[in-house]
Amino acid sequence: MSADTGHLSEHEPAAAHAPAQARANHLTAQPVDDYSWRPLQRSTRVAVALALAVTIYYVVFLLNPAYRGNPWLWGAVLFAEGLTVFQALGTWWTVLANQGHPDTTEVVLNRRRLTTGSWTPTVDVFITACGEPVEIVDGTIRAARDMAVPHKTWILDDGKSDELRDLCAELGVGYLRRGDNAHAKAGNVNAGLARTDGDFVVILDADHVPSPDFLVRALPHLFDDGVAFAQTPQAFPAAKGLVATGTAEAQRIFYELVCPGKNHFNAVFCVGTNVIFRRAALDQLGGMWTASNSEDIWTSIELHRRGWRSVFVPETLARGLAPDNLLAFFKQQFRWSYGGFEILLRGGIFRRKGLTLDQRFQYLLTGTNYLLSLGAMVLMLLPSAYLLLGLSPVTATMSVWLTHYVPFYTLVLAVTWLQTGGFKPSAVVTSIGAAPIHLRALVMAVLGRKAKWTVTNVKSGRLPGVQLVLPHVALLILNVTAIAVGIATMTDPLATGLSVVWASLHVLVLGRVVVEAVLAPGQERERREDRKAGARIIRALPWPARTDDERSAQALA
Amino acid sequence: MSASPLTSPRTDPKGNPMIDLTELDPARGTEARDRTPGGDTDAVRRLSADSPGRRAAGTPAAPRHPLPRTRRRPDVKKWWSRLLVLAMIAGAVYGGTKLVEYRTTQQQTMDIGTVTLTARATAVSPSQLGVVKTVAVNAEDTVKAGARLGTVTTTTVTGNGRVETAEIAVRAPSDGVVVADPMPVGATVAPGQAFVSIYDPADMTFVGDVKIDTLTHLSRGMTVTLTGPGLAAPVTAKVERVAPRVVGSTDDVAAGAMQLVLTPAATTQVADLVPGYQLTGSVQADPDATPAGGGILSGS
Repeated sequence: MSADTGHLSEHEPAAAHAPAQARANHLTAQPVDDYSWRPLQRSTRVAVALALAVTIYYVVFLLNPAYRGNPWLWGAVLFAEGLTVFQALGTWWTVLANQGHPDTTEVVLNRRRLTTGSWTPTVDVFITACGEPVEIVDGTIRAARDMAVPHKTWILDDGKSDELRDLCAELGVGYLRRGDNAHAKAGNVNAGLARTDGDFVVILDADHVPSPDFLVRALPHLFDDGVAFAQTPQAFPAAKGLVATGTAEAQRIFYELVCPGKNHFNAVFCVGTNVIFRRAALDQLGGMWTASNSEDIWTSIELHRRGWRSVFVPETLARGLAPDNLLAFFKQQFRWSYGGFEILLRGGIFRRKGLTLDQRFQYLLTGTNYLLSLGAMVLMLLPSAYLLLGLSPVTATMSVWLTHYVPFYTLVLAVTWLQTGGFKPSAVVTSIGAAPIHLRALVMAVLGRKAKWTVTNVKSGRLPGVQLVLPHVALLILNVTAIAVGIATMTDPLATGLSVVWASLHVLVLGRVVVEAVLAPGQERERREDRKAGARIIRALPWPARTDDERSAQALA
Repeated sequence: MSASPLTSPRTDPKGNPMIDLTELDPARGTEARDRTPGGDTDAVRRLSADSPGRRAAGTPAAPRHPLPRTRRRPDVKKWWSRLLVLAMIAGAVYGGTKLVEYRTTQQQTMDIGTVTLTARATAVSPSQLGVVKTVAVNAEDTVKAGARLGTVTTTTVTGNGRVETAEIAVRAPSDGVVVADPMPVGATVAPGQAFVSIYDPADMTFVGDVKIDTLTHLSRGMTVTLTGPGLAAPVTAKVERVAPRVVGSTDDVAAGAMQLVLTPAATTQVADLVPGYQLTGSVQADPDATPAGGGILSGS
């Protein structure tokens, strides 16, 4: 660890004091972003059972050689639908595993010991910064410093900002800087680990504001020596605009539905922020896993392999700022999907020893999740293949095909609707918009290229325009051309009509992504203002009052 | 839930009073209120500090307006991307037009299946009953009109009871090709009975079956392109007529089908081909064709 070579300045953090922001709790009793972990309703279970039946019905139809059309398209559709079905089944399985467990007696007991002072763990809170605006980091620092339970707060600054260093001195928190930026965030955290000694380490991104009771709520889950880390959700209550709301919704689904299920299988992985690590666990790996740039999931898999357990805390204990532009979103998606593909290709989730069967399956689900984008791209090309070339994956008549496809599609949508509580257009647009990026990550992961997003070759701070979305533009033009050609050469009005409707939906979604990218450079100022306002919102929003007494009272009632 | 308080600063969607965001943090609030263009450029500088490398190189103090700087140095990548988008649109328009043209032609092309080159055989017979004496031609010989194909010895009984034999020649009535070997020497051949059959290679037709429902797309004079094994170039023919199905006729066709008769566009194209040769063809549908097979049903 070359942490000390870059030692420029270091302050000892002031002792933690009473949370100044706690008074915000009393402003309103209405928490605006608390997740609603409720047991799944019976209707959802019925829908899942029905969906299972129609899925089998549809897959049997697809596999029937009598209906095979163009063999290449047929193979591609089989692959795409196979992925979709596998992911859907896996997700339903994971989501249904969530029984909404309240905190165990042990956790409640240890929480009391923590607040009464009979358990005094040493805690270091790391805020990783790399060039974020100081006024945004400022809020995070204050909130982290003011958390209940004594702890030391450190800024790990890879941005080498003197302004931030001065702010830390003013606020009385530690400031650490290293010589190089090797291994990005993982290297930054490891450099911090080498220069601190607390039993527990909290990692927060610079734009994630923790609640005053973050440690009180999350730390008791780590009382058991076998627990390596406790992951808490990310929440983006100030999301505004297409990208931010889309991301926020996707994250909400992940933390509200998927993570509690993964927790049941002891397969929750760390997402890199809002997480508490046990130092002893990280020490066993020599710190965060730096062999990959998706350090969070790799660290998790290596810890699970060594028999450590992980816990998901289903309470919103920090609020953050979601990516608010396509460049940031694409970078994030590229990194995550690359990590997923790496796990799949080189993670040895089946080959290597140590993981339980459930964990292997959950990591497989995570790894194949981004392959869904590949399936989505295949399905996206089908209307164009029909409209442009008259090629079709199945030779069945339209009515036969509809009889098999419509129930499948409707029920998959219905289950998704029931599980997620509705669709947000922004989430649909952003997830489809990220598909070409996932594809790119897949290619690079398969080729073993170093994961790097190359569109970043733009003037610093200024967003790129249309060059960010060239694959989307190409797909958009393809769909528009297909619609025009299809209508001009129409032979079967029903088939052409359906394909045109489908292609038009693609045009709308892709068009929205392209418009977002093209307009972004001109809205730079509004975006900056929104981001600052968002930072103020996530600091100012009151936190819900959380007491174990209240919860147990609710549980009893 | 996620409705942005920014849009409704005083109440949230449920009507609960919202906190004034600036009140909680007086310092920020002041900054927000006192924001000036100059103050903004400072923020730009901080935001643009995303790239440490660039800052390390010593970027000069924040410019008053960041825009003119970028105007001075045009972004090559940006213009290249725009050019690429234009190229993609142009390519799509060109490709789409070509595709529409191609597919329209494809759709107007109708497969008519297999047709057989059929010759009309002419029986050549002597004018009187006789016995074949000589045979001058073999199968597949080409003969000219008037050429001697063989001789027949005829026997006649005259009025006075004398038997007279005469030798008469059997001559080709027209140019043609001998279908099969003539009758052998010594055979008896009567008038009306074929001593030999010849066909005229300049008068051959293609005959095939077409389904009755394709009749609506066919009309007399349509061009048919025919291909067959060993043919260097496709043969073109014209639709001559569609013959109705006649039960018991020698030209019987499959049920639900009718007989299609095509004539070659140029006799030279089929002169070298043997009758019975099978070709497959497609017809170029004429959008202006009279529907319902107008006028091509022979005998109707």
